[in-house]
Amino acid sequence: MEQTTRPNKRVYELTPAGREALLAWIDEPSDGPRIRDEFFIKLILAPMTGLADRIALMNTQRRHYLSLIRRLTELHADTDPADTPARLLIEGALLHLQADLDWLERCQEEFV
Amino acid sequence: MSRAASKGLPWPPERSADSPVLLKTSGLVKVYRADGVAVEAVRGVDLELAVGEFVAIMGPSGSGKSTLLHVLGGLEPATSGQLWLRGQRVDGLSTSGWALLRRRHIGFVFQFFNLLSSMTVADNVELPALLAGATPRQARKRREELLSELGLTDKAGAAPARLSGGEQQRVALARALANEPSLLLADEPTGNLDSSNTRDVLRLLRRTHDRGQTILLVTHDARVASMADRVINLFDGMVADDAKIVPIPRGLNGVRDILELRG
Repeated sequence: MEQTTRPNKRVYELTPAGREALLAWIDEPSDGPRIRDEFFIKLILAPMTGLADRIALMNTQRRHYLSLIRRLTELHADTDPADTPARLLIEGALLHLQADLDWLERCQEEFV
Repeated sequence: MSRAASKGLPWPPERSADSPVLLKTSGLVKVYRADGVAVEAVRGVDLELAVGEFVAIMGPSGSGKSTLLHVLGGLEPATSGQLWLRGQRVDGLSTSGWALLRRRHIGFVFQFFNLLSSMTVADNVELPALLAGATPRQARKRREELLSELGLTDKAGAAPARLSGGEQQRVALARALANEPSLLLADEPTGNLDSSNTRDVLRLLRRTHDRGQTILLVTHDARVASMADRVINLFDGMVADDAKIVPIPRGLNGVRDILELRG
């Protein structure tokens, strides 16, 4: 496919096997909660390694989440209300971040 | 406190790196006693709030955040520690001393609005100005400005109970701002609102702050807290963290790119 402002694109077509794999993938439920959580690994290892302080780790993480929430809230406000997919994507990310903060609070309750 | 003393600070307040301190606490403690049992809700809080700042207090339920806000606004006396407002030591004020101070300098917004149900929206908003000594004409003028700014002009004659939760909270905000308070205190102002009303109240708080209003609010809602300049995390009656929110520069995150992948 020829393009004027970008390099030309090559168009691929799905083989029957590919189509089958795609359908199987669509039918599968998608991964939900993150079990492999980088922050949590740091938090749990902190006292064993002596390389970090749990309170400092939680504070850094909370500040980071709040900055992200601020950015996404602004983005939501700037999004065309008619653009439903964009709004839903941002709202989903915000709800996840709210859950991350709630969970951080739980960690705080257990570890402080 | 005297009328002359209330004219000490400029209005609207200037916001600069070295803004004057509006509120300061040192070793603030609040202990409740019920049936001989002492519960330490606030356990030695030191904080400073500069003129023009917007600060959010977060923390788990029972962390003492609402109690702290109530003590800062004189709704409940501190058990010990010091509290200054506009350079004046206020922790020893009497109930009536606090009432006078609040009338002039502190606006309050609550989770459940706390409007006077027997009065119209207009009267609810005019009352604080009248109590503070404004003429009926001044009070009406200020009320008209506030209601128009908050999009409530057509509700002036209504009873609060006829309004939606979001509208009631906007009326409560108008009432809190009626006397151009030095400090706006808000306790879970969106705690009883759905997400679209939350967005409205947030936008109004933001606009009020942009005009120089100093705001201290307690919230569970991270979207509300993230609008503040600074977030204090209260845990077990003590300050666990106190930090400015560092905005993420626009264009440095992938959300826009993801959205633009569509189509």
